[in-house]
Amino acid sequence: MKGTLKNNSIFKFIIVVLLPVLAVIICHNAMPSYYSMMISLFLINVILTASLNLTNGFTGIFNIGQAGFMAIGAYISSLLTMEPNIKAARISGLPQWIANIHIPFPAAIIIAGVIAMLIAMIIGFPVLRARGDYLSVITLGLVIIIKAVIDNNPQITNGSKGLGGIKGYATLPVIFIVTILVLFILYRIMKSSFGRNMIAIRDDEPAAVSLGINVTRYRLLSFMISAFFGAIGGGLWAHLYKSIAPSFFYFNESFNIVEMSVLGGMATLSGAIPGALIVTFLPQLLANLESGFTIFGATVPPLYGLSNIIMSLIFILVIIFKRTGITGNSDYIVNSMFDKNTYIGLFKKQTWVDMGNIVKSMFSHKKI
Amino acid sequence: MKKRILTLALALTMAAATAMTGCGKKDSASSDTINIGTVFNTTGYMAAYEQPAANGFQLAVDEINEAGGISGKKITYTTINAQSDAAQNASATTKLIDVNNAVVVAGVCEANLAITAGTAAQDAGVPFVTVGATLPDIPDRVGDGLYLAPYGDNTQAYALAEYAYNDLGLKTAYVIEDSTSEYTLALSKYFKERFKELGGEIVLEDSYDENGYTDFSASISKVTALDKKPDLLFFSSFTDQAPIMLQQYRAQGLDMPVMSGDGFDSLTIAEIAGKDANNVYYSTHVNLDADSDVVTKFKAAYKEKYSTEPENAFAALGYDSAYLIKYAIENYIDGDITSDSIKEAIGKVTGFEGVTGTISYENGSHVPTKSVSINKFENGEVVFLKNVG
Amino acid sequence: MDFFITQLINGLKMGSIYALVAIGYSMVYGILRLVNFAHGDLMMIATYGAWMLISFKLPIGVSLGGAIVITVIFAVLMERLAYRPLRKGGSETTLMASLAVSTLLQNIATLIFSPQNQAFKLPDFFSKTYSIKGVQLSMMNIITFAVTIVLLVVISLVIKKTRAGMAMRACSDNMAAAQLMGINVNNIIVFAFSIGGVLAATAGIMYSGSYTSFSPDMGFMIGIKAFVAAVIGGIGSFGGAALGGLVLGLLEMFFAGYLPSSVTSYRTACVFLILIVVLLLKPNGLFGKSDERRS
Repeated sequence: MKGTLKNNSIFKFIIVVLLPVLAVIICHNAMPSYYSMMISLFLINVILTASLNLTNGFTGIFNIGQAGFMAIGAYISSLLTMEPNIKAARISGLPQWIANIHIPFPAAIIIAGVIAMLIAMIIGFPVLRARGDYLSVITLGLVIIIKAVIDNNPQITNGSKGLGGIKGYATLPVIFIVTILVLFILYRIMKSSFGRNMIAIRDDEPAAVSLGINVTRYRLLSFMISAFFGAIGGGLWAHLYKSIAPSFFYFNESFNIVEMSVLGGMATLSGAIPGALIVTFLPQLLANLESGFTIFGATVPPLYGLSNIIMSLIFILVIIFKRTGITGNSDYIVNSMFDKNTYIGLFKKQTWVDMGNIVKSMFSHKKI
Repeated sequence: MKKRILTLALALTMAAATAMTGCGKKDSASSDTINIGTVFNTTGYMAAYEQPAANGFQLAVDEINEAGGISGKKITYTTINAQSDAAQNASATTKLIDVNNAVVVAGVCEANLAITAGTAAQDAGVPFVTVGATLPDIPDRVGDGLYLAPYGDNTQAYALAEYAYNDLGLKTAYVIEDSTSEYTLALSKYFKERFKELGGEIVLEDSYDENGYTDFSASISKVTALDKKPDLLFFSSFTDQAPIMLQQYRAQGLDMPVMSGDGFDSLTIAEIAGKDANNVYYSTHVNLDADSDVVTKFKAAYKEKYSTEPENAFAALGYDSAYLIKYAIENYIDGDITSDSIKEAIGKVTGFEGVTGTISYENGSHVPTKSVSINKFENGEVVFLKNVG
Repeated sequence: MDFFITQLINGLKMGSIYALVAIGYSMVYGILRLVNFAHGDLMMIATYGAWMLISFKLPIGVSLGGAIVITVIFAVLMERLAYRPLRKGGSETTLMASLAVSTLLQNIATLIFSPQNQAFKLPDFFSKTYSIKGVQLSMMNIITFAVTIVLLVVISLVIKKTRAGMAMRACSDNMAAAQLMGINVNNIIVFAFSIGGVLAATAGIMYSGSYTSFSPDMGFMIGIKAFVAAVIGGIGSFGGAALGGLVLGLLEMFFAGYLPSSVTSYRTACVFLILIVVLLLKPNGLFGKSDERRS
């Protein structure tokens, strides 16, 4: 075990730390903003998916309404960070006390997260008693209810006209740091006794109950934490794209997040990374097929919707052939990222010796 | 286990590598072509509007290139489907600008999506022409680079109110609006404003949410319960609901005139609703049955390329947007064709004759002064009534 | 009073549609614990099928019958290709798979036909209206009620009296035990999907027939509401699903009819509020059996 490539600290460090950091630095400085925008979106998706995995993968709640909490986060944080005069000009009938609030971005997204958490508590209290699939449909209803509330209270939210003029605080480095923080917090939660109890509930609920674990309490707490980070994701989203509308946080967005979660593997935090990677970038590549092209002089007309069709097929095939998603039960990526041994290992002589052997054996075509 | 993790690591490395290869700006556009990009939501909930718009734009680009391009430069055209998704509207716009080096971007027929896309263009300093979004305050919310190709909702709603009150002599109105769309809300708001100013009375207001809303019987019962029936029914709604609403209101004996905005501009409505679509007045961007040369030429060309009649006015708006850009560049740019010069040039456009009427941006406004066509359905046909403004 | 009766008729019509779709949901869920989000899209398939067959100038009866057959084929294919390989997986993955199937079907319809709304014309006979003491009653309403009642009776007889029906109930109660008794579970599941297909197809045709227009995404929201109806009624219970559908249709109509316009735009949201309230009071729905019995 010790001498394999995947257990080597150098390898871990390069894959999960060095490459991502380099990618972010290069994108932020040297590349056109399209790439930094896409990577920002990818990172936000990682946050949303990882937070969803906390409930969906660990506690048996299958939440398909994460976009609702995203909407709460986006709206509340935007209302808090917008300049008072812009706010008052954009939203007619906005109460003066809301217009006057103007606080820094980090505080705003945290407040938004806390409010989403409280809302999750209020909703979760009655709702979490419902059984699995019913709960899923209720969470979908949550998306509809939240959208209806935003649509119908234009004096605060500007209704379906949406909110513009949000400051672009969420730059790529900011989003990157927040993503790492969120993953780290979720990782610590999973490693704590709280997390272990949750896994116990997931793996064997009756046994967990017999050990005196209060299942409902754990579900409620995980639902609240998930809502908190979902709202953080929404807050970042709003400050990345700088304009929001209720229709942005609806079924499509909600289903996308669940798709990432299932595709990557719900049972791990790491699953969020490949899941978000595929759902964020693959449609971008597939979109090229849609606009119509010419092969050997024959023109293929535009096939609108082709990329959606391919995406759904890929999704169905992946879950048929690998039910637990891409990462399965291995939390390799996140574990390597935050395990202190990855970093300590870099300074051990043995690690470098092992790496040398691995490289040698690679070139001598022997099995590692 | 091992294999899986290795695959995963490999995938990650590849992802990082792909991200890095995109590194570094490509050469700026060679001087004998002009890069134009469009974002259209050809799938998702905007598909019914933006597929025709995308077709119209493509048609115009093909025609322009065949005729020698803009000021002798061919258009290098890229279009991206943003799937009616907000994030994709922004990233598609940025991609067109950063990767395809577009000097001007057009597209999008829904206000919120147009604002998201427009904001991305604004940040990059590139002008954005929204092909079909009619909310008049979009330019205020985005910035100096955003232009509307169609008129604003205030213009069409005012024209409708005036036509109803002055030309048709209708004094009382019932208004129902789709409360989930900024378009329908603006349309009804401006209509009510003007109608009341003129001396008319709004006797009943109602609203609905669009989620698969196909049964208006509850709303209709409220109208039939009124002691004095309104002279006019104003439906602030989209094409999808139009025939359903018409049939259901008519079935309950409400056969007074019905009025709506450009959402009603689709012959499908008359086709579906049949005789129930009689006595329906709507404002739109273009009178596709006019005999003018531009219109006939456009209709013929569209029919030839897509073997269908233009589905709705958005096809014409897409077509006009491309020619508007051409017109601005050819008439108002002396020096280099850059994003900045195009941005300035579009603002100077006066008297551009398009299929959808004459476009002029007056007094620094980014919403064009344009005439509104008032049409009417009559026995499954569109009857042109009058041009206002 | 007229207003009340009109709302009642409207509610019953909407409720009939929900009921038919909800029964299909309920049967499949009862056996497989699968929330099939693509079930509503079967309505869309039926409408497109009927529309195509009518445009081939086939007689109306043949067209509608053909559309039902097409829908059943799709329903069975859906089960065979997407859900059966996933049967051993968690209900979450199948739920997501059904969402993907739904996206797939809607996008294929968009690609083949167009995203535009299209006219769905039935012969004039269907669009007659009768006025009884100021209350309008359309032929389509009468047909909807009649067909719904006939189908409900037929299906309940099938479930109660036939061997297949009994086997289905057995599976719904206890799949493992049913299997031990020699019931071929696969066949029963196909049977459930077929009946669900027939009901959804009928509902789809009646729905499009009375609203006369259709588009690729027409079935999704109705599907979700029908599932809500099934849950309200008590899922797995045949009568519960039917009653849940009617209750939901009526509540929705009275909600939209009697409340001021500032509230009516919460109509869809209200459907889910009702769901939450019902589940709070009766976790197994109004007429549902406790889930404890199921092993």
